[in-house]
Amino acid sequence: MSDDDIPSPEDGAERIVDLRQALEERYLSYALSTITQRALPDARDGLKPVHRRIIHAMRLLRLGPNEAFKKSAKVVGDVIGSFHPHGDQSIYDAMVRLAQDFAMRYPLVDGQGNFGNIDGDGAAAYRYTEARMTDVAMRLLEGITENAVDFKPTYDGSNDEPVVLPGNFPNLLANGSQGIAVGMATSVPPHNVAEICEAALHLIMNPSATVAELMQFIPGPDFPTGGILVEPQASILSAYETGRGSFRLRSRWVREDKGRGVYQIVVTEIPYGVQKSKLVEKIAELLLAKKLPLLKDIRDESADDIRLVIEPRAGTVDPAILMEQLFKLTDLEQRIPLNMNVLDRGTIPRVMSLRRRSSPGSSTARTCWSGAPTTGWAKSPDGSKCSTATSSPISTSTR
Amino acid sequence: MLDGYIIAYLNLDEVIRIIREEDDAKASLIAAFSLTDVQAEAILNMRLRSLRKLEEIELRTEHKALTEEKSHLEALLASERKQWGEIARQIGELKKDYGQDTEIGRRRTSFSGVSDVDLDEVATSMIEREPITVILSEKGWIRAIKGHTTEIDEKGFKTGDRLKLMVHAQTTDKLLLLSTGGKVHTLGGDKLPGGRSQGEPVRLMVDIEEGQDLVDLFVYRPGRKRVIASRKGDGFVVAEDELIANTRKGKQVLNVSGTEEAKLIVPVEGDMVAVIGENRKLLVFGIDQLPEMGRGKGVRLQKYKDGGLSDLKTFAASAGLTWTDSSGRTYSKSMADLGEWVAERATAGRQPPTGFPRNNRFTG
Repeated sequence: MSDDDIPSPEDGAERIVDLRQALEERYLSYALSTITQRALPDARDGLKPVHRRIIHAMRLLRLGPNEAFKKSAKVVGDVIGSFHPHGDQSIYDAMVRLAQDFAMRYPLVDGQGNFGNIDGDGAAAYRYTEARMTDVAMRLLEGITENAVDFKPTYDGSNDEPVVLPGNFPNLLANGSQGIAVGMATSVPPHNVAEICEAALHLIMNPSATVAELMQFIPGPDFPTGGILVEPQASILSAYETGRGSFRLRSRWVREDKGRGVYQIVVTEIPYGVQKSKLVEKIAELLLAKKLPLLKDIRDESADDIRLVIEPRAGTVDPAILMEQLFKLTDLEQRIPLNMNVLDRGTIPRVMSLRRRSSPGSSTARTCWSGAPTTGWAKSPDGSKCSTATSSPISTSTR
Repeated sequence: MLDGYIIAYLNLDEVIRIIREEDDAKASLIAAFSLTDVQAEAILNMRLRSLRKLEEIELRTEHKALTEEKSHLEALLASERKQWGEIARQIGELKKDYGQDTEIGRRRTSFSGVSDVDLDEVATSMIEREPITVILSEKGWIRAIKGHTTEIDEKGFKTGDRLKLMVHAQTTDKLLLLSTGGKVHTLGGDKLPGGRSQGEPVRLMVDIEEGQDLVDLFVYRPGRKRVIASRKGDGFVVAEDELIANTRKGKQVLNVSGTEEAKLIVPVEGDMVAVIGENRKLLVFGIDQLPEMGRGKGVRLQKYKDGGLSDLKTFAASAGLTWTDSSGRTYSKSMADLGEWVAERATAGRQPPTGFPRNNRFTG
């Protein structure tokens, strides 16, 4: 290709660009955008931008928990068109996850139709399913009409979207979040809301409470799929104090006697994030490769509940030893990492300890507090534009 | 605005008269009752329907409630403590709706301490226990045949190679390997290559240093002790439990330097030790004269003018010393007959009794 074939830039504006520098600049801006605008959740409402836009769009469509369902395609279309200029499948996948009760401890979306299952089957296409918000999502939106949060223009400037949801619900800790950005990642496991509330109340009474004290109320994560956490107290404490660590999560199993000395083991809960069908496949593979001499057979008898039947080779086999083997070699025991890396005030990624995450009040939101919102106030003649709304009691704090 | 409505109700007749008769009703209303523009506008837009007294009562109560709320909100905005109190109240409500007694609020993940199952037991139970015969060749190739046999197939070795030693074991056993550098390596019985092949070089499975060679291979038995000795004649007693290593590097047990080599690692089967040197001098002494260590150089077993240690054997004083010569005959001498050879360790020793094998080993 000769020099004559290369078109020259308009206005004769030519620049010599250093390739390395150009690559660095562009990759840096991509990295920053994945960190702040994609993978890391906001510390205040626990949502990534795509989820926030989905909930906002559902609110504009008036899809409350007592309203009729609307087609998912409608929601996805609104989100793409007005708020989120990215792929439709990714938005729908995000929405599907919000509706799965084995993925979200407190689902934000109430889905009608095939939304996938714990065996790893995917959801139906968005032209088939319907959705509306759950009570939890409504709580997150509480007060948004009363000017509780700032709005910013959307990507094309034609609409406004909320910067953060006001939230009367501790979503970051309750539902958790996982994400991989560039150069950093996040993994917050789900917790129990009642316990978070108790810890928050304690923190209000004693602003200088330590993480160890808070752990009296929050002993550890609470996964939607249940399970048993086998981690010594001290290690959970240090994970919560530093914001980094990991938890060993085991399946829940019981021994069922079948009479005449023969028994079988039934697994009723599997670890979070494990696909049941893949788990059974892998155990069967190991069984065929003769790596599990104590095991005779494994059967999946699940229906609405989870029921994996494990048969030992003989009734004399110690069930504890058989399960130890399985925990060591298969996903019946899983390591759940903890990396509480979230966007402080929506802008700066920071690894936070449990205390920062659950302490109530945000200095920026302190200008808006109230009890029950009323519409009469907007027209109040006495001039006091007291913007009434509730602000998230559970969010980052400056303390 | 509500103030305006209330004034209207109080003076309803006058208001009606003004609206009916005056040209500019709005201005007159404002003048008559000192209303604001907004209030007057609202009164003029009022429906006749709302003249019912009931409405008045409703308005009054609404006004009262809103005034209360306004003062409440203003107090809230003013006092931070009150704000926290409000938040606390809301948190309390949330806790009630999602409490531990509700279906969605109940804790699902429980806790437990680390279970105390013996990991070794778990590890061994994963291997099917079968008898094997481990074969080690001169050039360092190792394999394991199924079953306990004493017959070995010569074709199983590479050209120029032959059998060095063979050991009966189980797949669940651990095998300990001593190198001339004094290091002991650990091999799992289940990890050895099958008997049909020619085996695998041991150097692939464990890290044996350059220039070192294999001395001995034996089955690990917990609780057993061995006497380890160098060619120079230094040695000590070591417990087999101390020899187990988890890494490829093995464990350095006998410290050897220069041209010294580890030569023997013999099980302790009694309370007496018999050593014979390359100079064909035999010495017998009590095993209590040897220290029991995990690692070290050891103490001198026998004094040599030239040459080094040839062989070592332990025996019980009550049973006496036995040896076999090259033709297979067994000789034995009781402690009474061994009187000449019993001395302190590190002494020179004497010529062995008649019938002692020519090759200076306790097994001909």
